[in-house]
Amino acid sequence: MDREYSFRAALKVAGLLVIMMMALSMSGCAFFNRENTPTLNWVEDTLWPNDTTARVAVFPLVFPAGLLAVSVDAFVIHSASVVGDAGSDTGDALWDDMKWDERYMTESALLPWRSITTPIVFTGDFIGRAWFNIPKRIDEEKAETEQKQHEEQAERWIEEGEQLLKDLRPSDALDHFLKTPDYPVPEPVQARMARAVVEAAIRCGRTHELESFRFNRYGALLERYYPGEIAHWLNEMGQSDNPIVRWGIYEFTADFSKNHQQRLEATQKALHDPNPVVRQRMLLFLDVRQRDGICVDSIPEVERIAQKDSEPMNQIVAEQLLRDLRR
Amino acid sequence: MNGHRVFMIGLFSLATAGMLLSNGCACFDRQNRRLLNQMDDWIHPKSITAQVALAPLSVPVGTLGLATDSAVVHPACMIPRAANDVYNLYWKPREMDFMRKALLFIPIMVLTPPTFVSDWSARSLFDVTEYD
Repeated sequence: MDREYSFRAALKVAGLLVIMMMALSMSGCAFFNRENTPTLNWVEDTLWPNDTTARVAVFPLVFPAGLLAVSVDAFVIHSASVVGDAGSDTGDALWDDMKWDERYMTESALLPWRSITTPIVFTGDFIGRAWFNIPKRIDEEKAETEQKQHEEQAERWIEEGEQLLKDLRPSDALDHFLKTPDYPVPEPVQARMARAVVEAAIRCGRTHELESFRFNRYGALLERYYPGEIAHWLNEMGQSDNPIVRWGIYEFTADFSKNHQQRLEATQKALHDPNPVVRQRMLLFLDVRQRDGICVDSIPEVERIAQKDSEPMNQIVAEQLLRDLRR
Repeated sequence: MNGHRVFMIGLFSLATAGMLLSNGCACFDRQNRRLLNQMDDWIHPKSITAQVALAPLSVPVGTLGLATDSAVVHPACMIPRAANDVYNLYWKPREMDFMRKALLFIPIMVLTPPTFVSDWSARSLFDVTEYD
């Protein structure tokens, strides 16, 4: 009976150890972060010789010395260093949001619960921080401050570009945007930035330059925000009196839309455009479009232009295009 | 055997506490603390001295209020909601032929009490007001 009981106990302990090891390996043990092992770092820097012969000589000492250093780190230094963070976490979780003036009785009723749960939350948080590689609060705060700074910087950068657009200097605005900042543009302002970049490119008729933008670090943003923010603006601007803007919209849609139907519609709209230059640009562009899966044969507008267009040059281009592509 | 029982009870309590914490205990929501909210309206000392002086009385009274809310007031308020849930689930008139209604009558009769009890328990213990 005793033997069976001790076997069960051993099984339980082994199970617990396996779970602990899995948790440690999956969530990232604190040991794997160099910042959490100052003693081990010191041993490595000062006691580990540079010379190969000396290294071979002291090798038998590496394991016991390293184990001792890791133990000191785990049970003394790193543990002591997370006490403050565990205390602050507990304070934030349980003691931060108290409104004694507004709800005195509720706070009074919750006081014993806060007191009872404090050591439990503190211990759990402390163990979590001591065992696992959880970023220190000061690092999180630093990251938050940095993110805020980047957000402000990016907003200023976008505002400068938008001001150039307002001053009717779209070309300068595009140049401004193409010089992308060396910090990551934070998520909340990315959509605004993508829309401003597209607007600048379309207004100055340099949509094709967005091709180079596509391959820099912010290129993916244009595709990410195309269906929402950018498409909304394109719809608003679709009826523009300015043929440069209309052509920019057709070209941008043709390049960046993932939707075949949208690309086809943009092509057809461009071929129906009242401005002969827009029609001609699209005819010339169709050569490229053929590669995107839009077959010229499926666009009756090309044949219509080849047969009758107010601009004789367009007829020639359309005929040539049909000849080239059917060859 | 005794140790095993204690272990099982501890595990069950831990699981319940975990569920309460993860799903949100009903009394975590201010709307579900009717009595305590009323007490807040009645008793609201402004100065810190008064708040500290009243603490020996307010803590036990408040705790009693919270316990009453959790064990009596909130569960009592959830009876009509649970009844409504059961009505909507089983008893609400539906367009159905007589044969099906007759076939379903006994299972519905049998299922009504356990469904009501589970629904009422869940509504009493957890914060499920968002599903109303």
